Amino acid sequence: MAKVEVEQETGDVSRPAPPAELVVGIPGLVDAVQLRTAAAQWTGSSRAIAVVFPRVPGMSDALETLGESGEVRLVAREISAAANATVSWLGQPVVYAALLAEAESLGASACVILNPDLAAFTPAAVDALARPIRERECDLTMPLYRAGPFDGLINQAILAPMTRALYGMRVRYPLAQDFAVSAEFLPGLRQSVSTPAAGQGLLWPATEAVLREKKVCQVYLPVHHEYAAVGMDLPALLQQIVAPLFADVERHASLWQRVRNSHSTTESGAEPMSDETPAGNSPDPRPMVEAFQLGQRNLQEVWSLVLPPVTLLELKKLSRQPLESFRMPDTLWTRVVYDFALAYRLRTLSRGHLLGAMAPLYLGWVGSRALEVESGVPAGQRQEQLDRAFEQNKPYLVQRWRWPDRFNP
Amino acid sequence: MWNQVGHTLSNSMAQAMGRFASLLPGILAFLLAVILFSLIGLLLSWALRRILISVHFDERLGRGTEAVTEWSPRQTPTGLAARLVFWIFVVIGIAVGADAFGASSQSAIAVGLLGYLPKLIGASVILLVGNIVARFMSRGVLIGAVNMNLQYARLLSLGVKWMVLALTTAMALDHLQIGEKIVDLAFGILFGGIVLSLSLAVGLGSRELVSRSIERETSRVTAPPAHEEEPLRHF
Repeated sequence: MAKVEVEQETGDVSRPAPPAELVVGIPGLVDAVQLRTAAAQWTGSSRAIAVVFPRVPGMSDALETLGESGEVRLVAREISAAANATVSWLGQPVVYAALLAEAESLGASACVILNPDLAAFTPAAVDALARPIRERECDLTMPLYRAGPFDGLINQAILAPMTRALYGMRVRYPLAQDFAVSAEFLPGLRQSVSTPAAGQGLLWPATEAVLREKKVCQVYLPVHHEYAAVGMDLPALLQQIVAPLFADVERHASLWQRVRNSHSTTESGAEPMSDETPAGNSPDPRPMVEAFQLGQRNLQEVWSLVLPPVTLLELKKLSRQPLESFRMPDTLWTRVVYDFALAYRLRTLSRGHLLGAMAPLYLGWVGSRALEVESGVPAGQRQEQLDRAFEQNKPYLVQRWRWPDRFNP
Repeated sequence: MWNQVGHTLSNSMAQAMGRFASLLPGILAFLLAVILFSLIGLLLSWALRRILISVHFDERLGRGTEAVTEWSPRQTPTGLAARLVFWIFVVIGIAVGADAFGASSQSAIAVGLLGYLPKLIGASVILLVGNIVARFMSRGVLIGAVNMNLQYARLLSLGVKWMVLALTTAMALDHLQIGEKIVDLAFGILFGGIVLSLSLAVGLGSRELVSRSIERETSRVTAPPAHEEEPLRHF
């Protein structure tokens, strides 16, 4: 029978922890029973694997009472998460820093970070993420999930295109919670999340890889995560996800202004089935378009602080379009996002208000995308067009960033 | 007779000029104190800004600074601390100058004005803070109401803004002891009237809407959540 060791923190430095070939880090609170069940899938594995996760009172006892069922060493570590830092479901930088430090101290050749829902804690998924690292193909493996056209919309609308345009890296999920890091990249990544400024934001592994000139690859991951933001209102979600991205853009301004063009990464694994939504399953675009129109009627005063006159005029024209022909042009959306990133940097208005004022515009984009998908335009093709628009309009951001008062079309 | 009138006039003129001349050293002392303390404040705020920037004060404060940037978006904590130091010295300068002015002057008007000066400063601060709070709250209410799909978002935001401004003005006038009872009464009537009209509007006009809303909330609490797949996943 395979063995599960539950290691508790003893503070005994004289007895070093046994090395692990692979460290699996879980940057959130895990369910003990679920973890034990998932660990049981590793029976027969010949590699030394350590699973590191934040310890909560009573957790280690719960793990011990569950008996032996796996081939992994479970390491519960005392990690004091900052009470006022990033929301827990996105993973706090301080927790990432502790996990990466643990992987370094255990001498792992690769560290795989997994979403705390443990959906990816299977030998197949972990191997898929760790294989390119083991074979020295890259230093960071990012996942490619099977997603429909209405999954991860903030990622499609803002995170992925902006990462591609600004940092020149075509990573489809820059804020993924499943990724793998090589031993060479571990110290750099840990350092990046250990700074006081980074401690307030989120971990953007792909951006850090670009900063440190590390090679990135992507693998298709046969994993489906539960929707973590159920019931969360949109402005709060934008505040938690987009605000840290804007903060990161501000921090790395000297880097991305020098980057020209983007390049693709190596993709491996079995490509998932087409991500087209079956007919009749797309959301109703009317409430989203109406939310945009309501914003247009009421938020002129706030938007005019952020957006230049030309953009305001285009938004006005767009709001008068009938529902059937309502389409937000890629260039317009791109400039809106760039202008909000700039307003975030310039503190044109309170940052909470800024992201709240962005919500109706984002809903307008979602409504437009829903109408396009409904009319049969392939989502993948549209995404590629949007990504290109972000790249093509990068000079606009650079100019606005450098001369916000002088360059105000 | 005309000689006497002219004599009296020239006497009173000489007296007035003499009184004004006696105030001049006090005014000069007041100005000097304000300028001197402002310069000290400027120097200290500059030094403080340099020190705080060098120790990365804003970054060290971490998320605590969010509250500062929320209320005063264009100010960083470092900038605010430096400004605070400057204005504290300006106020000290005014206080010292006023004291010097009072010591050098025996005029009842000057003493009365000096006694009123702190109240004027207090009322100005109340108005300034009230204006900032009104602007912040009205913008917050407007954005929140739009995101809640309320059609009367602008009306709500304007209402909040004028409520806060009315409250602030009443407080400032009360602080200045201008028309105390009238202001109290007028504000009480105005505020009470608004609350009453809102109650009537909700109670009579929107009775069905409120009851439907309560019913919906109750059924949401009692009924088990339906496990429907959300068509949209923002993240």
